[in-house]
Amino acid sequence: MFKNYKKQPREENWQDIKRTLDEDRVYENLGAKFDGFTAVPSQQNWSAIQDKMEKPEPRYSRRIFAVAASLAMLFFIFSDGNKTVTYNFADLAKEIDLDQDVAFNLCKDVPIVALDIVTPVVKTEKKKTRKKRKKKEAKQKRLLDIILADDDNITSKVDSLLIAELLRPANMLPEESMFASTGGSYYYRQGNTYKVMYTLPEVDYKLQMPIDTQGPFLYQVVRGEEF
Amino acid sequence: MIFNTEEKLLIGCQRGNDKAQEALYRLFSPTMFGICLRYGSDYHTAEDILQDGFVKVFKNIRNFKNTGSLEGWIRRIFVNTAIEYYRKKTRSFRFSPLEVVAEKSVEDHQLLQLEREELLALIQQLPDGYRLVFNLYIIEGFTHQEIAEQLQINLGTSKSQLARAKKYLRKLIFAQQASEERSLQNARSYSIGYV
Repeated sequence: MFKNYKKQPREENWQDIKRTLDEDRVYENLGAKFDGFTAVPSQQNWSAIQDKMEKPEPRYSRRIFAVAASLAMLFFIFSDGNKTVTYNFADLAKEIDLDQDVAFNLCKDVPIVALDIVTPVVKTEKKKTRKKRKKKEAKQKRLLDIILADDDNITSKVDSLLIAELLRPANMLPEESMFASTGGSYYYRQGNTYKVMYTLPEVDYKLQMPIDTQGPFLYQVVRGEEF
Repeated sequence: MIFNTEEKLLIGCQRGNDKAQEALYRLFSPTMFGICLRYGSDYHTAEDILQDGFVKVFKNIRNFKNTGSLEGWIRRIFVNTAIEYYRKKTRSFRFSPLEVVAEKSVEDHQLLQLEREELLALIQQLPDGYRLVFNLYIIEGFTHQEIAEQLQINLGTSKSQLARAKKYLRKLIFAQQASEERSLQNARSYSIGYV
């Protein structure tokens, strides 16, 4: 029934189609007007791009990171690194049989310490107030004055601060509990007044004392255990 | 070092070489600024898009794979930067409602007679949503489906925005021509009075 059915559509249909096609063609031509369109920007734009590349706008997370980094930096600046840094050998211990000697040598070995197998761990230590620190220093100074100067009516010109500085080890030991005896030459220079060999840390001292020294140490009489 | 080929320029930029970056900017900035001018509502906005676009290009150039043309890749970054610019500005695109405009106030031939600079000035006057869709469909050649995905809008919204943009453009041309005619008439009456 409908096999050969035909019906002429209304003319408006073609008009609509034609209008759409024409319009598409118009806008296609309009779009083509921008083919190869270029415009040279002003010179200031390149400078602005360089500024943006160098100083990226800090985001919220970056600001947090910056504050955290600043705090960490301040902590390291005001903390005593020699006292607070320990080393984590956990990863290394998995690989080797770690005894005390090996650990001691590893502690001293700078290249090994610098490797990433050793992680510096900050041991928190209570910070002393300035008042407490001054009190302690004053106490030490007084003690040194008593020991080194006011002994048996001997008046000597003692610069206790200088002596304290001289007595301070040049290098800290890796671990505070490690001690070693002093060398024989030191014992010899002091003469027979030393009866007891004291265990001292095995470190280099800044102390230099030639035989002919005319300093406060020549006046000291060390009395065994009392020293 | 002389970056006499695009490949050398690309390698230089991927290594963060300052000279290579400047050379790339000098090479592509006129084309990209042309794009920015079409998407921006004014010259300063276009400059903002240009700067943001190049910063993105330099930061991401290591991710460029040599599968397509470098210019095409940069161009895509600029289009995305322009879209992002308006998304940031308005949070979400605010597409303008259909305004009452004359059904066909300007003939097609009048539209085609427009110079590129005149057309650019008219495109810049379109509302943000209209301008984006107009640029993406008419000039970039994206489909409505692609536009809808890029702008995260419905397919129908893309189509309706384009239709409205076309009408708005004709309205602008009509208004401009009317204004020109008025000033011409004023000039004529002035010259007649003067004589």
